[in-house]
Amino acid sequence: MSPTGLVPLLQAPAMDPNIYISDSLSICEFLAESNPNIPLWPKDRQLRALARSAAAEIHSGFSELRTYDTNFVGKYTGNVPITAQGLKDIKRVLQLWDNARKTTITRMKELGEVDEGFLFGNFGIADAFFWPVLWVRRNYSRK
Amino acid sequence: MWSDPTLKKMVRDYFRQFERPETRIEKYDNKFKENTQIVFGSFDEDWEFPAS
Repeated sequence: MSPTGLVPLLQAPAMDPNIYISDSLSICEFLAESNPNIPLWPKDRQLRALARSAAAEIHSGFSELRTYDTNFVGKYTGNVPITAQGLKDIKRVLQLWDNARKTTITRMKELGEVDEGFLFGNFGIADAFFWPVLWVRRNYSRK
Repeated sequence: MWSDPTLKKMVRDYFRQFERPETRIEKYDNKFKENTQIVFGSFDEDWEFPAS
């Protein structure tokens, strides 16, 4: 049972069966540290810092956007009401994505690395954190 | 991201779940049902992101 009463919760019995890692961001950090061969964070220090910043921002911010329930398959058509704060959150997300991609494109070129087109190059933790935001935008037909 | 084959594989179960009425949670379905200007429907599994 989750000691916080919340999910997700990760138990890593190989490390210690009595340790429970709660909260999505700390679980991701643990998994990244446990699997250094998988680029869950960008290899490049600069992009890694930005990816961590982006994940932290969506993890602790965008409170209004979070009030819009998501249903992966559901589709609303029509003039879905959205608050001023909700619009502000959406603008900030778009700005963050735009900045992330512009910086990543430049940085990957400098490094001679292949850019796979995700926020910070390869698919990683930052993309996973923003994935539900894409669901919300699709659910409510927000362009 | 919508077209990524790994993610498409991961979301397959959402569509299987959607086919089972007993898995519906009212809170997440048709939340604007009192507003006739907003229509609730569903996406097809082969939906593609319309890149502009």
